[in-house]
Amino acid sequence: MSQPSSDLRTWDQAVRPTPLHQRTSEFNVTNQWTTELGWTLPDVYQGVEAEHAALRNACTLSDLNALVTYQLAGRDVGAYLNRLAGGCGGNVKTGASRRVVLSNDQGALIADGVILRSTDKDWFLTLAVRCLDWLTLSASGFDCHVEDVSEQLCTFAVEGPSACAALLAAGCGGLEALRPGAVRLLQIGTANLVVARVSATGGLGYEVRCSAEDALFVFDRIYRDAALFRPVLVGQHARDVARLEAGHPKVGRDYHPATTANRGESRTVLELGLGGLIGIEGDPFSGRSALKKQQLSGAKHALVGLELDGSEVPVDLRLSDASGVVGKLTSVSWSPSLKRIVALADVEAKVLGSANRFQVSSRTGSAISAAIVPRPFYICPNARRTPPDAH
Amino acid sequence: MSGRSNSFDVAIVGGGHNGLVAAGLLAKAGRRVVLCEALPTLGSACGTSTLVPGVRVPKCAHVVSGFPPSLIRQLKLKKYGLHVLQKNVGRVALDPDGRHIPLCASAGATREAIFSWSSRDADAWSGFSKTMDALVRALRPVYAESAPKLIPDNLRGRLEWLRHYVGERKRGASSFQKVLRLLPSNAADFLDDSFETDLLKGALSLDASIGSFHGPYSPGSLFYWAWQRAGETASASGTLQVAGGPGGLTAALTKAAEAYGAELKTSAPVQSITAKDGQIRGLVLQNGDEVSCPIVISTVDPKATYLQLLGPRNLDAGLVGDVNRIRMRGSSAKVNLALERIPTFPKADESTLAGRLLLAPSLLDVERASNSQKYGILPDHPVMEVTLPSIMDETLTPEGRHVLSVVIPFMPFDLDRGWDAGGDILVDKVVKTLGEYSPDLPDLVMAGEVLVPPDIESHCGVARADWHQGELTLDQSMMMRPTPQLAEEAGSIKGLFLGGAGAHPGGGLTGRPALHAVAAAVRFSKETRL
Repeated sequence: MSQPSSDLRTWDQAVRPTPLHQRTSEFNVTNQWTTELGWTLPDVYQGVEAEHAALRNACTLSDLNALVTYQLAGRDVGAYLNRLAGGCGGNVKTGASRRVVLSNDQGALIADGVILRSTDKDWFLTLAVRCLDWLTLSASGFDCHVEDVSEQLCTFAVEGPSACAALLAAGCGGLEALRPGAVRLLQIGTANLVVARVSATGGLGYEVRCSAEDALFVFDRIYRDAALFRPVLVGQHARDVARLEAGHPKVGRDYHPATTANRGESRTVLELGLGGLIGIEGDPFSGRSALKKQQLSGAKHALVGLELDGSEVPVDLRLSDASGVVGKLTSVSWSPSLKRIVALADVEAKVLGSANRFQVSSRTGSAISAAIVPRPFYICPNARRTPPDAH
Repeated sequence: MSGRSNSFDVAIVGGGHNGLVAAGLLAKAGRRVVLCEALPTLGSACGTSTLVPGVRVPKCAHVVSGFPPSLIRQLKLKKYGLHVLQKNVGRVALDPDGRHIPLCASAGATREAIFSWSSRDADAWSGFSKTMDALVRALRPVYAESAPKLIPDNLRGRLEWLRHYVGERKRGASSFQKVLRLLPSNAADFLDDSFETDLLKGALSLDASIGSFHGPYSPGSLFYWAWQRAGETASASGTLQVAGGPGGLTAALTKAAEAYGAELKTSAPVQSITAKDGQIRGLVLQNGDEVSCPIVISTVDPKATYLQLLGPRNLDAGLVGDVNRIRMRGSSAKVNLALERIPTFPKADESTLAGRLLLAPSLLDVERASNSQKYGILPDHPVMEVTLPSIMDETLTPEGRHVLSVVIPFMPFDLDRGWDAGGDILVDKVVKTLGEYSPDLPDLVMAGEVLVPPDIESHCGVARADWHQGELTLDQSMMMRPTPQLAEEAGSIKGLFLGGAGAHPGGGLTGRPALHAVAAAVRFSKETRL
C-alpha cells in the first residue's frame, strides 16, 4: 500500500491523488484537472487534438484509477455474476474478459463494466460506478465475497496502434498474441501485472493493473522503455471524445446509475441500447422479468447516436422535431476521426418510428440538422486486428 | 414412480390449517391437489396434544378466531366432524380479588362490571367501544377481501380504493379524522385517554398486543389491535371454540380435503420449489421424490418460501433484499396444564371461565412484559391469556378433570441464557402468577407441557414462533404484505402463491390467506389455461 506515513488516507485529502498522481502532475502542462468518483485526474495535458491524434495514431498512456475494481471470491462466483450481470456475467473463461451491464429489479442500468478473470480463481469486476451495496445485496444466497480493491490497485491504459509494441519493448513478452478481451498475467521486474486487451476508446488498447505500490515503477519502466514509440499522456477530455466515437455511453452523462438516479432519470438496459450485453432468454438475472415485459410493451426512451451537420458544437442541447422538443443531447463533440459533429441523445421512443431527422438550435438560433446513425460512429481498424509484431 | 402419478394441478407446501383449506377448496373444485407437510401430523399450530392418556389440550393456538362460517359451509366441515361448541368466545379481564370485567359480553354487563372500579370509566366504555368500532369498521373490508393494489394500474383497482375511501368518508368528517388520527398511533395512549382503571387498561392492552413484537406504547400498536379485531369480526360468529380443540378443526379439514380427493402427504418435507424461465415447474421433496405442477401454493413463511425453497438464484436481487428484511419476531410461548379439577377463581362462575381470561394487572405490566422480547430476557411478571377449554368441551378430559391452556406473549426466541433451563423457569413463573389469581391452582396440576419459542418452531412448524409469519405492522400489512412487490404480483415467478399467515391478511386461524391464494391461483390457471 502506498500510504503516507501519517494517518491521512487518500479519501481524507482535498485533492485525492491517484497512485500515478506524481507523474500525471509532472506531465500536466495545462494544469487542467477533473474529478471522477473523487479521484483527481488530468483533464488535458497539452491539447485535446494532439492527445486524440496520439490515441488514434501512436501510443498513449492514461490514468484509469477512477475505475472501481471489485475482487470476487467464493465457490459461486460464476453463478453470482450470471445473476448479477445479464445472465451471462459468469460465462468468462480463465484468461478472458467480458463487457457486462448490471441492472436492478426494474431493469434499470446500475453500471456497465468489464469482468476479468485472470486465473481460475481471480475474478475482477471493474465498473465506473461504486455500488458495493448492490453487489453485497446480490450476494445473498451465494457463496461469493465481494471486496473493493480499488485502493490497493493502480490501473492505467496503454492505447493506440503502437500500444502493443510499446508494451513489448517494456518487457511484456507474448502480448502480441492477446486476442481482444483476453487477460494475461505478466511481470515487469518484480512487479506483477494483470494486462487485459480491453479499451473503452474503441481502438487497440490494454488495461494494465498492478499493485498501488508498484504503480510508479511500472509506469516509469513502460514510459522509459517505450520511448521509441513516444508515448503521449492522454487526459480525460480526449478519452471522452474517443469514447463517444466508439459509441460507449458515459456514466453520469449519458446515463445515471439507477442506484443514485433522480426520479425519471434512470433508463433500462434496453433503452440505452445495451441489450446485446444481456442474455434475456438465458439464466435468470436481476431485472430479467422487467426487461422481458419492456420488450413486449416497448421502451419509453432510447439513447440514439446522431450526426450533426456543420462543424458547430451546439450549446443548446434540446433536440426537437416538427412536433416540438423530443429529447436532449447527452454527449456532443467534434469527432476528429470522422471530421464531423457526433452526439448521443436521449429521445422519446415514440418519435423513432416516424422520424430520423431532428433539429438542434445553433448559437445564432438557426437550426442544425441531426440524423440518427448507427453506433459506433467510428470503427477503429486496429480494434480487433492482431497487432503487428514489435520488430 | 411413473411421471403420471406425480403430476398434479396444484401442490401445496405446508399442512397447517391454511394449507388444508386450500387443499380442500381446490380439490372440491376438481383440481388434482397434493399437499406436503414436513411434520408427521397435519395442522401445525392448529392442533391438539395429549398431556397424559385421556387428557388432551390445545397444543398451540387455543381458540379459532375469525374462521369464516362461509368456509365451514363451503367445505361442508360439519359433515366431516366439525362441532362448534361456542361462538363469539368472550374476553374477561381477570382480577385476583374477583372484580372481573367481562369485555365482549353485552355492553351493559361490561359497564356494570367497570362501575365497581370507576364510574367515570363505566361512562367512557360506550364512547371507547364506538371509536374502536370505527377503526375496526374501516379495516374490515380490506381484511376480508384481497388487498387492493398499492399502485393500481387499471380502473378497477382505482375504483376499489375509491370504494374504501367513500365507504369511510360517508361516515362523516369527524369519524374519518378520528380513524386517520388513531390508526397509526399507539394503543396505550388511546387507553390512557379513555380510562383510568388499571385492570381494564391492562387487559385491553394485552388483547391489543398479543402475538406482536411491540408493547402497547409502541406506535402502530393500535393498528395491530384494530386489525386483529377486524379479523375476528369479519366472520359473523367471531371467535369459535370447537370440539376437540383446534385439532378438531384440523381433523375436519383433513377429512374434507381427503374426501374431495386431495392427496395429503405427511413427513414429506419439501427440499425445493423448482422454477424455469420464471414459471413454476413443481416441487422436489427431501426424499428425492419430484412433483410436477404448474401452480404451487406455499403456506410456509415468505422467507422460507422464497429464500430456502425457491432460492435467491431464481429471484431479482432487490426482491431477495426485501424478503430478507421481512421482520419475523413476534414470538410466544405456550404452557399447557392438566388439572385434577376446575380451579377456583374468586367470584368467577363457569361461564366466565369459559372465555379468554386476560391476566394483566396494568398497562405498565404489559409494556414491561413486552420488553423481555426486545432484550432477550424472561419477564418478572409474565402477562398471559388463559383458557380452560375443558369447561365447554367434555371430549378433552375424563369426567371432573380439566385442562388449562396459557399463551404467554412477548417471549424472546433467542433467550440470553438459552432456553435449556428457561422453560422450567417460565413454567414456575406462570404457575406462580396463576396462583395469585387462583390460590388452589398450583396444587391441582397433574401434568403439563411447556412449548418455548424454539419448541413451537420445531414441533408446530411455526418459524421463529411468530404465528403471523412476519410482524403485522402497517408497513408489512395489506398491499405491502409480505413485501409490496410480492403482494402486487407474487414476484417474478408465475404460478407461485403465498397462502399462509405471511400473506394478507395475516395470522390466526382464519383460513383467509388460503382463500385469497386459491382465488388468485384459480384466476391464474384460467388466464394461462393450465
